[in-house]
Amino acid sequence: MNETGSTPAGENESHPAEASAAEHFSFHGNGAEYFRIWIVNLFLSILTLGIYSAWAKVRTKRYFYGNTELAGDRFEYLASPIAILKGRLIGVALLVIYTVAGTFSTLLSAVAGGVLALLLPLIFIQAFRFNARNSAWRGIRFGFDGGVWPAYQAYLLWPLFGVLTLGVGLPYALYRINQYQIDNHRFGESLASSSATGGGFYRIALISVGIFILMFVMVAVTAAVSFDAWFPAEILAESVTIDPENPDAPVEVDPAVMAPFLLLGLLGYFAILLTVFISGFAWEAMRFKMVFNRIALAENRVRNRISAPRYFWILISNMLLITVTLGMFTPWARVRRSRYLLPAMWLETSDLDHFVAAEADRTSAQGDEIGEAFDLGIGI
Amino acid sequence: MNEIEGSWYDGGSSRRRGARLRWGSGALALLPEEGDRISIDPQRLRMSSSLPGAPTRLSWGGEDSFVTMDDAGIAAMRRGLALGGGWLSRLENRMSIALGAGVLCVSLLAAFAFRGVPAIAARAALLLPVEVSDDLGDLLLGELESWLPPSELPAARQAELIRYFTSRDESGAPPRVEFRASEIIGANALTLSATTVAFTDELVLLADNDRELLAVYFHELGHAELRHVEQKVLTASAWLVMFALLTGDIGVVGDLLLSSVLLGPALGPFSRALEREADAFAVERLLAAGESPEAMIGILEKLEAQSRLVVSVNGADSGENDPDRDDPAPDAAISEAGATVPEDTDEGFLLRLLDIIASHPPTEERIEYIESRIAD
Repeated sequence: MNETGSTPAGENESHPAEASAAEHFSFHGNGAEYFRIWIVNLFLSILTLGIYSAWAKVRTKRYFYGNTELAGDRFEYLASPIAILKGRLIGVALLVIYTVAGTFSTLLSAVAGGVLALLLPLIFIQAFRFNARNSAWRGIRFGFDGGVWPAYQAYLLWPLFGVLTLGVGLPYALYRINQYQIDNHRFGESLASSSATGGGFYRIALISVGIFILMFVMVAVTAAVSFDAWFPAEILAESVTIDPENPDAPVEVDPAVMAPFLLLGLLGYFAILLTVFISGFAWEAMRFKMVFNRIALAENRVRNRISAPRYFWILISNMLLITVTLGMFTPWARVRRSRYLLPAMWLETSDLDHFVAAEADRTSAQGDEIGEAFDLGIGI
Repeated sequence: MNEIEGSWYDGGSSRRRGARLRWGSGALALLPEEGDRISIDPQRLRMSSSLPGAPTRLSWGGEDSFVTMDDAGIAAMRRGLALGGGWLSRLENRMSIALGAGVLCVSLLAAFAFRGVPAIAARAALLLPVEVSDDLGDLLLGELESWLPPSELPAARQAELIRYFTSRDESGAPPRVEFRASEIIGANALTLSATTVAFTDELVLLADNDRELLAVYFHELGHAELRHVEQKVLTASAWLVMFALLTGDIGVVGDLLLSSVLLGPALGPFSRALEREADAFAVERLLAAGESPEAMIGILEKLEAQSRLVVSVNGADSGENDPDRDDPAPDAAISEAGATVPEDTDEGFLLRLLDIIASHPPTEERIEYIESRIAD
C-alpha cells in the first residue's frame, strides 16, 4: 500500500534546455491517523445535525493539503468553515425549493430545474475561485479567474453539443471543460495552462467505451449460457401457461421457476453495474494521468509516472472495500489514493523561490475578516 | 523563553526563510534567520487549529505567516499563553476516543435507521396522496399475478362479502377488496396498500362464518388505514439513501430506487409492532360494529390448526419445532397452510421464503391479547 519512493528524474522523456530539476511531491498521511480525524468528524457532524460538516470539510482538506509536500514545504488550506457552512445552507435551500416546486407541478419543477441548470456554470466558477483562493503553498495563494461566458460555453454549450451529436462530441466537450478549468487557474501571478488535446480525450474515451462494450458482451454471454444451463427449454415450456383461447391474457409463469430466475436477473444487474464502474474508473485513471502530464505553471511543468492500470486497480478495489465495510474503509481508501498518486508526480522546475503573489490576493488577504463575512464556500 | 522552529513566508514571494517563534509571558516575537526581529501583538495573533499531521499556521494581521510542524511546541504555547483551543486535535489524537466515537456513530445511525426512520415514515405515509396508494396496489397485484390467479368464487359470493364488510363499517372510504385463488399461498389475506386488500379463496372457504372473515377484514383494514405498506416502502427507501450516503455511492441507489427492488419491502413482513397495531384496530372496529372479537380468535385458531396439520405432514423441518424461530405460528395475513409439498423442491424453497416473510407475533400471544380486550 505504501508507494512512496523517489523517481530518478531521468525517466521522463523531454528535458528543457535550461538546468531544471525534478521536485517530487510527497504525501505523509497515514490511514490510522486520518481514520481518527474522519470518525470524529462524522460523529460531530451527526451530533450537530450536519452543521459541523463544514468544519469537518476544512479539517479533511487541511489534513490532505498539510500532508502534501513539495520542495520541503507543505500545502495549506485556508478556508473558513463559516463560508463553507453558508454555501451549504444555500445549496440545501436551492434543493428544497426544487423539491417543493416538484410537488406542486411538473411544469414548475421543470422551470426550477432549468433555472438551476442555468446557475450551474456560475456555481462552478464560485467553487473553483473559493477553492483556489484558499489553497496556498509557501504563503502564496492560488487563484481562479475564469470568465462567465466561457463558463457557459464549457459547461452548457459544449455538453449540449456532445448530446446533440449522440455522444460523438462528448469527449471534445470534456476536453473543453478541462481546458477551461486549468487555463484559468494561477499560482500567485503565474498562470497555469494545459497542453492536453482533443485527440487525447478521444483516445481515452475510445478505450473506456471499448472496455465497456467488451465487458457488456462478456456479461451477456455468461448470462445466456447460465440461463440455458439453469432453465432448459422444456422446463420453461412447462412452467409457462398461455391460455390458447385468450391470447391477450397475461402469461402465467410457475413461481417455482420464477424465483431463481429473478435471482439470476439480480446478479446480472450487479454485473452490469460493475461494468459501468470499471469503464468509468478506467476513464478516470487515464484522464488523470494525461491531464497531470500536460500542465504548465509559468516555466514549470507538472509531470507524473502514474500507471493507469495501477491507479485503476486502486480505485476499483477502494470502491469494493468501501462498499463491503459499509463506508468504514473510506479513510484508508482516500489515504491510499494520495499515497500512490502524489509520490508519482513531480514538478520540472528551475526555480521555486520566485513565485510572486498576485496583487489582488494581497489586498484581499489584508481584509481577511471582512472578506470572510461575504465569502461563500461551495464545494464540488 | 520558549522557542518554536518553523518557516516564515512574507506573503509576497515564494521564498522560504527559516525562523524561530519566541514566546514568553504575554509577549511574542519572530526571529528570522536573517533580518531583524519582528515583535507580534498577541491580541492580533491568529492561529489555525491543531490538526494531527498537518502544520500549524500563525498570522498576525499582515501578509506574512509562520508555519510550523512542531505540535508539541504549539501545544506548550497554547498552555503558556492561555490561548485555549486544541481540544479537537486532542480528541483526534487518541485512538480510544476515535473508537468510542465510532461506536457512538454506529449506535446513533442504527438508532436513527431502526427507530427514527420508521417513526418518520409512519408520519410521512399518512401525508401521501391516495393516488400513490392506488398505484402501489395495482403494481403489487400485477407483480403477484402468478401467485394470485383470479378467484374461483362465484361473483355473487364475492359481491355479498364486500357488501357485508362495508355495511359493518361506516367509518370512511372502504378499500378495494380483491378475491384471488391461491394454492401456493393458501388461506391468507394481504394488505397491498392503503386502498387495496386481497383475500384468498382458501381463506373464505376455511372460515366457519362471515363474522370471522369480517375480523380478518378489519385486521387488514388496520394495516391499510394506518398505511403500513407505504410506511415499509418509505422506510426501505430511506435505508437505501442512508446506505448511499455511508458508502458514498449515490448512483447505485438511484438505480435501485427506480427498479423494482423496493417491491421486496412492500411485499415483505410487517413488524410485530405493526401487527399488534392492526390487531388492536380490528378489535376496536369489531366492538364498534357490535361484533364480538371472538370471531377473530376463531379464525386464528383454525389457521393455527391447519398449520399444525401441515407440520405433521411435512415432518420435523418446520418452524413449529425449530427453536431458532420466534414466530412458529402463521396467521391470517400470511400462512403456510398450503405447504403440503416436500421442502427440497423449488416450490418448497419458495414456501420457506414466504414462511420467513411471516413474522407475526405467535398466535397464542395474539389470542391472549384479544381475550384480554373481551374481558375489559
